[in-house]
Formats: sequence, structure tokens, C-alpha cells
Amino acid sequence: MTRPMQHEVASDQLQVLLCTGAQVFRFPTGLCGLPTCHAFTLGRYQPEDGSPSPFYVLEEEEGDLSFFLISPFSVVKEYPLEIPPALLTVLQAQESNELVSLAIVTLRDRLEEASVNLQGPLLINPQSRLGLQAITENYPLRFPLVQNQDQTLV
Amino acid sequence: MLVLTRRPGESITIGDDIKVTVLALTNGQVRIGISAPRHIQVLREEIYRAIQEENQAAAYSVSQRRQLDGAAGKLRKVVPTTGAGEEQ
Repeated sequence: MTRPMQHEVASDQLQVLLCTGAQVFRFPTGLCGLPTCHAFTLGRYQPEDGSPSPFYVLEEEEGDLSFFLISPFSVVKEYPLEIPPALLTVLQAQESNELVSLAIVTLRDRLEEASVNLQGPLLINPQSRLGLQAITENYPLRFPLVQNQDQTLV
Repeated sequence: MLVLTRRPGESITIGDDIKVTVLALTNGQVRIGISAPRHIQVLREEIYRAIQEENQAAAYSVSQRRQLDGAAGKLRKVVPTTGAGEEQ
């Protein structure tokens, strides 16, 4: 699966940062509906058997809430975002290619119903360790996580 | 809630730098123009609410985490591990 070139440097920076463990990121504007949570730890999701996983875990630093995240490029080939300059300012970035986008996964009762929120992606600046939730009307709110129905889930 | 009556072409200002203008009324719909500084996010209410509700649906507490770990393990088998940077 290909990713646009400009995403790769920032993405690699994030991987380097997270390879030593979860790191604290500040979300100055909070998450939509949870505006009082401003600090989260972000780490790779580590399955117990140690096998590689496409998931990340975002946990409230002083609270009880967590989210599963995934790179949008794990579910769609292309995911161009137009990032307004005001958001770059919040994230202390000069250009959008300094940012990594991660999407929140909503798990439901049945795994086949799990979805990825491509409408409200999280934008992460690995250098400033700042993040925010952007809202775009161009992508679906509930994009299916599991594309290939032929595969066995259990 | 403050309620004001405006005709097409008339505006309301909010603070120093937000202006809401009624542009037209057609077939029971109101066309509205909004000028606001770029750091103010202007969204249709239903979009904002949908994201809000989806965040709440996606959030889980640490005590639910163990259950979810199993689910994620199963999902891992069907979602290709092509997350950022994993190709190296």
C-alpha cells in the first residue's frame, strides 16, 4: 500500500519516538466532545504475543479513557487533507508534511462492524509533541475497518 | 438565547471579528455567510455532533481494555500491518 511521500518523514519520526514506549502528547484544544482532556499518552498497541499490530493506543494521561487508533493508510490508499494554517499554528508546524494523521477506531459488538473515523482525524506533530482533532467533511465518519468479508475473523 | 430578526443582506456581529450575514431566503432555506478569523472552526452542527458522538462511542475505560485487547488481536489478523513506518 503506498503512502504519499511527504507523509513518510514525519511518520518515521513518530515511529522512532514511540519505539522506546508511549509518549505524552498535548492536545491544546482537546478532543471533540472531550474538550477538557489535554494530555494523552500515545503508544503502539502491543499484542500479548508480541506480533506486529497496525494499532496505536491513545490514553488520557490523568483519566480513564483510551482510544484505539490506526493509520488511515492502513484502510485507504489515499488520504489527502487540507490543513488550515491556523491548525498548523496550534501544532507549531510550518508545513502539513511535518504532521502524522491517525484515525480513531470504533470497536462495536461485532468485529465486522468496527469502523475508522476518517472524518475527524487526529493530527500529530512528533517534533513538538502536540496533537489535535481536525474535522473534515470530505471523508466518511464510519469507514469499515475490515474490508475483506471473506476473511475469517476468529 | 438572544433572538434577532434580520432581512437578507443584513448582518450580525459577534465580538470584534465574527460577522454572520443573511444572504438569501429561498424555499424555506436560509443562506448564511460567515466571516470569522481562520482559527475559529465553523461547522454545520450535525457534523460537529456526529464527531462528538463517534468519539464517545470509540472511548473506552481502562477496565474495558482487557476485553478489547482480544478483539484487537483478532482484527490484527484481517487488517494489513501497513501502519505508518512499519515497512522498514
